[in-house]
Amino acid sequence: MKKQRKRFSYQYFFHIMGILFAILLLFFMIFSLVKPDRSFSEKENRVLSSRPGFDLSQIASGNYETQYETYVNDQFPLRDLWVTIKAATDRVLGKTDGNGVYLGKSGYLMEDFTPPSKEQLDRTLNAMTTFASDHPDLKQYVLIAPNAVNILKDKLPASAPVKDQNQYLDTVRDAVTAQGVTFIDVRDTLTSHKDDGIYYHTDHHWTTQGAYFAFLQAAGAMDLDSSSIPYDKLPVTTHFQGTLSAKSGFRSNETDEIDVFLPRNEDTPASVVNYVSQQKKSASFYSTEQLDTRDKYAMFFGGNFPQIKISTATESERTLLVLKDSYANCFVPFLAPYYRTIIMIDPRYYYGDLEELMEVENIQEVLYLYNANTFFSDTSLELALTPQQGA
Amino acid sequence: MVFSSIFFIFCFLPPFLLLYYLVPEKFRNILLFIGSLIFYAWGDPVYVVLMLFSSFFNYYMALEIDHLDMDPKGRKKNLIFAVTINLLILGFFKYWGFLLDTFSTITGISISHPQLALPIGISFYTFKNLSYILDVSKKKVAPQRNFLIYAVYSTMFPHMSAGPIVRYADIEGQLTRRSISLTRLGLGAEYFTKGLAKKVLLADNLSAIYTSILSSGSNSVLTAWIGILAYTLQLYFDFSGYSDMAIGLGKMMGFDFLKNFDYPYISTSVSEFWRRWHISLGSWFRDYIYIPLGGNRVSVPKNIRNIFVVWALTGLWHGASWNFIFWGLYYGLFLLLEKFVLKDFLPKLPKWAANLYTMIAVMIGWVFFSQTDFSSMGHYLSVMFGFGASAFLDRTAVYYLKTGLILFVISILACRPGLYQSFKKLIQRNEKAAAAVNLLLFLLCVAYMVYNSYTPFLYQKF
Repeated sequence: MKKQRKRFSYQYFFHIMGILFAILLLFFMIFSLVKPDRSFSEKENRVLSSRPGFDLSQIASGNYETQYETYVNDQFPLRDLWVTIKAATDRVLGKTDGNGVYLGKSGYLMEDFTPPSKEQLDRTLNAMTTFASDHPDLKQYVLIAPNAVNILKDKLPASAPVKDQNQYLDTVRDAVTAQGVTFIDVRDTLTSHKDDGIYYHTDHHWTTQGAYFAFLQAAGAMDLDSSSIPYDKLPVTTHFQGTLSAKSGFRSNETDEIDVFLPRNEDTPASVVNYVSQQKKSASFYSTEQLDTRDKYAMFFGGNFPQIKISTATESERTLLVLKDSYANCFVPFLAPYYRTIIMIDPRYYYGDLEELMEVENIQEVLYLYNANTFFSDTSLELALTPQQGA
Repeated sequence: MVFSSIFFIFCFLPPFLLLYYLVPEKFRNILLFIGSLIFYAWGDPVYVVLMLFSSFFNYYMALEIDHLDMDPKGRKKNLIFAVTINLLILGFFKYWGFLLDTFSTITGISISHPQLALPIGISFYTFKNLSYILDVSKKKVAPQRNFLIYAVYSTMFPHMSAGPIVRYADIEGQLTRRSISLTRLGLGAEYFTKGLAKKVLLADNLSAIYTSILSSGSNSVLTAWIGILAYTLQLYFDFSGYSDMAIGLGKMMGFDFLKNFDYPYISTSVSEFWRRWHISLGSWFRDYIYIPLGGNRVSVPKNIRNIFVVWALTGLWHGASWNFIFWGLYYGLFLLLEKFVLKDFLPKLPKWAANLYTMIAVMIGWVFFSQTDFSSMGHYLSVMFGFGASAFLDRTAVYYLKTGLILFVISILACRPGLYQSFKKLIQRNEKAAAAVNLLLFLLCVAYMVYNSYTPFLYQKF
């Protein structure tokens, strides 16, 4: 009797399995076919792939097939739900890192630091020091913002094996200081304010608050009277989901607040922002329409552009060139009142002739403003600083 | 195409199975043949010709050999010709570059050669075809006169790209007559789900630990052991998961393939390990190399020679690189050691100690297997034993031990029979709950597959 029950059990189980399997396969196959394609995933903050074009040579090489499989994955029904399930399972399994992002304490997500190759770092530093010795008349400053993974070490998961940014920052400091360039070392400043919300929880940028602390130190080095312009902090959104939650899948439902710092005094000189390659002008540093999109950090100057010119009606005659990444976008508004002209160049997108530009704009000072993760993985700064041949 | 991809499971498999179940029985072979060609051509459309040629060549040669029944000399000539051609094809695509590089290193004459992509599954289908032609010549099996049926055997997609190395003799009857039923679909789904979970949930996550450890630059003893433990578990789940999926797909279509893995990591000796690991490959080498060479029914020196020949070839089969040959010979040495020196000692050990000895031997073996570069291999090994290590334990070790702990515990349990026995008991107690467990596993796998751009099987390199 027992034996019979056993055999019956298995058969029943296999029948359930067979039906379940058939239903699952058919359901998702049909669902995939009827579901319209999406072009962008808000949750993952990235463009989803679309159906590849049919091309015989691409098929023969296998590229078409690979692209098609990526397309099917990206457009699979309920993709956001699957991503959530995957991240939740990772957490249950005890994982505290994913895609190079650590799941830190107090709600912080922190991007791991990838050390540069010695050759690449040497090339970049060489370009910077050569530039410095070619332009002894320019005042030059380097501000490389350490990342959360460096300053908020105590918020990392216990014993997370992160690489140390500091030795590389020291290398940069020593190399540029030897050429008479001022290295604005904000590590101590930021460390002393590490509990003041200087980094976003879900994003890889520093907050406006963090940038302001760094500015106060930079002002000393750059001879700017920071006490003359007091600021008020104004929250503009509390629904900012940063790139790190998208990248890792962790804490994908949590949000950050973005603040802007507005000058308290109404007589602070006004600026005009000129997006040179876009041939567009604006009277504000902020593009509030970006607050309606996923990429809310882009409200600072509308994101990254190859060249932005900021003209300010100030009595100062000073002109500044900022070679920068996105960390500068919330920082540069603090500099604006002190300079008649600021040119912001993002070497990742800029292909013009820097020498010519500096001559035309009569540049007197140069500030390198990067975050360490971008600076140490960057290859474009070196190209931008090297004079163009035959130009 | 790989089994553990959204594309295979939700774009290829559903229409294929639906058609397979709907068409009359006599059309199933042609459908399976066409399906297999599409499966192969998806991603590798050029080499499908090579696979077809290999299939047809062996089909034809088997008929030739059979035809020369009265002429043993002619038979032998034809057999040697057929085997040579098979080995030349495999040799050209898999070992040509390796051979020339080795030649260059020895002589200092550098010869440039084109970097050919390895045709998917070539090691597997060549061995399947060879087993068939050798069995026909030994009259163990009658040659197949219908090319379609032979092609179905040698190219069918379930075991085409990464095994098991199914023998023609084992499924001869099923090639012409096989039954399908809801029970078999369910049985296949059970195998497939378990295999998919082994690959996607365990192997891929373990692989992430192993790769981050390799790139962490940590030099502590414990990190090295955690790394190789992750790799050891990953290899098993990757490969046995693939075999489970292949067996499951076979069941759905009415085939029964022999099992390819039998809990290798519970073995109490290295020889037992090799009776439980990649069984279809081990038995291939036993039946077609070791025994024809005389096996162990020869003098001791010849027996030792036979063992080394078989293991050097086993190593070489896994990849065109010296470290694989070295890895094979390492096992040859262990088998000799167990056969002649430890044969009275090992059985006296407590089971756990014998298992521990086996696993340490196997894990060291995987170090040879995982690193093609001898100097980094040597470095890794010496760190494992404390030479050149920065410390016994460091942050990296603590971090991966802590964050990987649950995964390691689940993985070690899943290497042993206990978990599967409990699942069987659950089926008997509550069929629906057991099915719900499978459903959960399947959905979790879907989540991981959707999230990840697919990671190829380790064994597809071979």
